[in-house]
Amino acid sequence: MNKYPDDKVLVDMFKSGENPEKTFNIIIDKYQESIYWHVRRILIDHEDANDTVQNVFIKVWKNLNSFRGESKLYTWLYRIATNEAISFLKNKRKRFLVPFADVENELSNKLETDNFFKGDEIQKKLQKAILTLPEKQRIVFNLRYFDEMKYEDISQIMNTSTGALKASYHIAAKKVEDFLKND
Amino acid sequence: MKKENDDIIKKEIKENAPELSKVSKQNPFEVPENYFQELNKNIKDNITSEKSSKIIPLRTRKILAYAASIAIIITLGFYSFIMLQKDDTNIFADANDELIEFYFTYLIENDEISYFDIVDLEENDYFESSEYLFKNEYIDKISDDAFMEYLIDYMDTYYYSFEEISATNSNHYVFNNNN
Repeated sequence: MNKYPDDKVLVDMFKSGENPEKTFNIIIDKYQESIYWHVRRILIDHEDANDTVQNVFIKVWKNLNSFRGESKLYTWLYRIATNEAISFLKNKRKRFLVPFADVENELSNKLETDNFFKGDEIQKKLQKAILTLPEKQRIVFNLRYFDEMKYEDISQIMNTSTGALKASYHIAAKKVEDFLKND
Repeated sequence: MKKENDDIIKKEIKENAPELSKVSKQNPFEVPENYFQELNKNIKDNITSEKSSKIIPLRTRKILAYAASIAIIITLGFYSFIMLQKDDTNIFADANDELIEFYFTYLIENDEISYFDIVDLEENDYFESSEYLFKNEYIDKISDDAFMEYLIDYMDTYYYSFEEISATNSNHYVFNNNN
């Protein structure tokens, strides 16, 4: 990501009002892939992730001027993306009146038929194991295990203390391990 | 975005989940060809069309304004309880009614106590007394690990923070394994 300007520089450029579209294009280029993969791991389905990521960047565009820089730009982006993905799942549950576990089961079944899932059997099993975790724990696991994020950054995204995050990740990893061994 | 040191991530997994550490971390998901070039263009198009429409502010998020010092103390206490497995942690010190209710739900779901036992306790006013509420005959049956796992799952499912669950109110119950 070194080819892009520093986040603080980008925010200042955007807020200066000189060609904000151009600055925002750089922000999109810099973060669209990582935000997409974060959302895709939560929603599993490509089309759902695609719609959600577009909403995320529209919200970022509308609110970047009021971003006060108290957190890092990228943790702010991840936070918006996480909230959008969670809202998407909530709406899905409301729309189809399905309980929590059924949406997760549906996502798990989706892995079997998804043309855009190219992992081998053990990777599929890992994704299914992750889908058995409570939603928040699943997101914490993804951010730490796949995105290799620091607890301090996850703490800003999830608005949860680092101590509680470490506990959640510890337990999530244990449960995933049990699933891989036993199911 | 600075990532965590790779060795730390690997060590965490190797220690807690050796089977998981053998699984390839290669991304198993794919996207259609040229997807990211199109995504970039679609976002720009959406923004252009949005610019002429009314701007709706981002949903106001509830700000959890906990006193920093209290949060740190509770967090450190909580974390050390799980990680260090201290014998005499008073996890239910200053617990509120919700946590007490949660605790009994746990007991029932894990067949440690029946619903009728709870009714019996209520009828005998045992709820008025922490001495009876956390009687050792129930507590001794539960391992700290199992209960903490259940508590963390509960918090992760309903997006509670530990501070919210254990927020102090007028009730002061004490849970102490050594009693």
